Amino acid sequence: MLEVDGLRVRYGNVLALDGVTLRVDDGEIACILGPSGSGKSTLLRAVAGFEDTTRGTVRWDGEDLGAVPVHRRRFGLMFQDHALFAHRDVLGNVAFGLRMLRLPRDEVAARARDALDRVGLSGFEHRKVRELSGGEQQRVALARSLAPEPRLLMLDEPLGSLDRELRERLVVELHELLRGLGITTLFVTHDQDEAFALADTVVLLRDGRVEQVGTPGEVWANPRTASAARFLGFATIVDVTGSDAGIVSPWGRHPAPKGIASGRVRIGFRPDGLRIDDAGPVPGVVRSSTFRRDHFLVRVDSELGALEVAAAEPVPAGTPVRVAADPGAAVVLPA
Amino acid sequence: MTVTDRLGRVALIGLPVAFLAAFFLWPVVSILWRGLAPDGNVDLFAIGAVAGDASLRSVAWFTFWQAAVSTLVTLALGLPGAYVLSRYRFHGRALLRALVTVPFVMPTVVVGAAFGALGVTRSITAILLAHAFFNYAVVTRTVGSLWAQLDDREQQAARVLGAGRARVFWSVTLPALRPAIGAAAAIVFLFCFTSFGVILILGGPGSSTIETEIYRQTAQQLDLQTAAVLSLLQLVAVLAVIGVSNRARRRQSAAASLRGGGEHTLPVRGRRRLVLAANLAVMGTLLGLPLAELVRRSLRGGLDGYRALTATTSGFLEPPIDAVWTSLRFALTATLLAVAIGGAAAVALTRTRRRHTRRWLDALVMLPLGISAVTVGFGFLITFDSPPLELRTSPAIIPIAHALVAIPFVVRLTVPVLDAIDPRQREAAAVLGASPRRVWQEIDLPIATRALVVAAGFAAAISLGEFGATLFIVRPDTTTLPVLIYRLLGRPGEAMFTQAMAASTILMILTAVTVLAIERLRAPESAVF
Repeated sequence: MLEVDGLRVRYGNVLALDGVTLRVDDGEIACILGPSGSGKSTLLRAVAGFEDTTRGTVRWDGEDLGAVPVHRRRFGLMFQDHALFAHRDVLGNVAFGLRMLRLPRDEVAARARDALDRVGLSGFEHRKVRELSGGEQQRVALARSLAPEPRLLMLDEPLGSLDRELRERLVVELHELLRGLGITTLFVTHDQDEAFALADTVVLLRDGRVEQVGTPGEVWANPRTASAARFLGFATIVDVTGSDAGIVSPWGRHPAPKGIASGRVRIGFRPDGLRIDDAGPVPGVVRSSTFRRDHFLVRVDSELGALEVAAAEPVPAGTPVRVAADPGAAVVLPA
Repeated sequence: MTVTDRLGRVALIGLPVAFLAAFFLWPVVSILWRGLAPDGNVDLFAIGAVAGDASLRSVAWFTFWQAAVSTLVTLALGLPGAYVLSRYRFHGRALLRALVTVPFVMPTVVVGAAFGALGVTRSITAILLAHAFFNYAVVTRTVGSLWAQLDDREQQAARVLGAGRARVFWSVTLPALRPAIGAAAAIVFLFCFTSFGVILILGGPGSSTIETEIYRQTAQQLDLQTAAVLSLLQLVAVLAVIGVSNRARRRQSAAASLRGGGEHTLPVRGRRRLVLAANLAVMGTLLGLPLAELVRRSLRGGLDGYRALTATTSGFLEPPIDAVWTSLRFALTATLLAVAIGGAAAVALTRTRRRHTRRWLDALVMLPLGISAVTVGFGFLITFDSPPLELRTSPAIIPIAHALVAIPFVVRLTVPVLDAIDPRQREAAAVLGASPRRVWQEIDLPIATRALVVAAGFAAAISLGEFGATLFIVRPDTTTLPVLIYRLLGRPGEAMFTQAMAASTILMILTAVTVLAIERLRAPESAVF
């Protein structure tokens, strides 16, 4: 079990991590999700032992790792662009961690071959890593991290540098592999699809701080801050006023979550939570319509601000429209 | 960090610093002292006397302008060569690139002898051509390696924006190449400014440089004080050139945008055939012809010239051929010394985290590159003739001098390779369970070894050809091949000349074999200078 408590890392004047606390249980797959610059990679590097932590602790099964050097932590880390050893072949890369364990030579070879087999690269043993495609390099890096059977596997943007099509296939394979091994995993990504497909627990990170922790379903449905909501696709966020009578907008009364009651609050909608309807309560003028695979995204200027609305058909710019919403589709956020 | 790690770290820095302090700084300071305070009191009168001497002023002026003109000639011939060698795709390009490098490491006496064999001698033309011969590869290497990696898309963007070919060259390509051209020009200028063997062998009566004058004042006039003042003058001039070029480089670095990935080359068609042919003609005439003529002249009278080298009748105490073994022995010792000390310095430079430590160590290690070989030799002569380091009669003194000249090259060849190791490779190894010592063994060492092998070849070539410093400290029983050639060239008679040609051919082959062997080993992306 990994426990990170109040972790702070400073680069010069920049606080890359500002008091991060999180926990990863045995066998759990936790994903740090956040925009670039949020401190994701720094967090992995700090857990791996590469960063001088200004404050806070990293513990494994209760043991403080502060004085344990990188090479004795028995963690695995797969780097963003893999950092494969260019002067070794595929097997040499995968066998490296096993050699560091001082295992007998034939056991090293056998286990390295097993790891390669697991990622579907049998027969690639003596290829040079430079000659591999991006997807193959990614698999070698994964096999290299897995071979010594680390207590914790960390992945930094594991599919980040690959094509979209390849990424979508590999995310499924990776999911099956990690589940099958039951290995405790901490990975970071800026890609929501990747995070929600792989993780048991999603940790939203922003500006070096944890914004929200939950299952993919909870986080997806109920972001707790405006920035988290915007990051997760709630493109329309408008200011409204809450009172003792509840939170009321032109679209009706919204159920208020605990802790948010009165005063200024905000509500957020995904585009499919809003619709263009002559009976809608909010008037506006269409600014643009953009094709989005299974719908058109219509931007509407209204007195509440810009609204992003999903529609089946494009609407010409300049058309006056009215916008309707189901109050239950809104997420209520603190101002 | 354990105690042994810390000791190791101190040794890495301490070894090069101690060596350079003893064998470089001390001799140089001795020269300063001899020049400025001959009687123990600081006496600036000596400087005034030298500055007021019209003949010495003309020596300084000649030194400067021959270096400037040599640099221009070398650039004019070398830049088109750099273009062809880096951008054209043709059969034998790799071999040609390797061959072009051979003249750079050719011993000066061999080059002097070769141009002598061609009959181009005793004139300023001979000096300029010999300097171009030597430094052609400096231009093609330094500028070519940048040219090969230049991002074509900038030029394409300029074309799309309406610039013609010539316009693109002047306003996009040339500015991008300027750092490399500047660096090459600075190196060529320095080499020509401190040129010794070429001037001594090929220069006419009026062509004396500071470098040859130091030798003349010491060896013939026995005027150590004037020699010391001249060394001082040389030192200041060299440091000024290095300072100016470093400043310019700092300002210009990051000017060129480089494309990742491989080189993009052009097929040779149409007008490019003409350009290629013209450049091949220049290389053939400037680089190939002198060496070919050298070999041809050495074979005049069959193998008589070579046979005579094995006899003791030439007026030398021992058969001249012994110089080959002496040279090889010294080369081996000098190479081991240079690789050990230069390698330690390179590792220390790349591992230190403190910026100012790195800057000072870098400057100290690079200084011998700027100080002329004659200054080193002269410094050895006046420093190690008395305790605590009485080395004048020790055979060790010559390899030490050679190592001193080679160390900057070893460092320059090794540091970029070590610097280029992606730090994440070390981190990846650490996460996989490698201790810091193991990381060094597994990641750094294999890469460093390769670089050091290449550096060793270079050091060997430098030692084989070193002439300026050796001439000061050589003794009859330690005659090296270059010194032997110089002595043979100075004797009258056709037979002696043929012997000199034979000895030069042997030295040329030894050097060429060493360098071509390196060329097979070196990583294609590492630059020499």
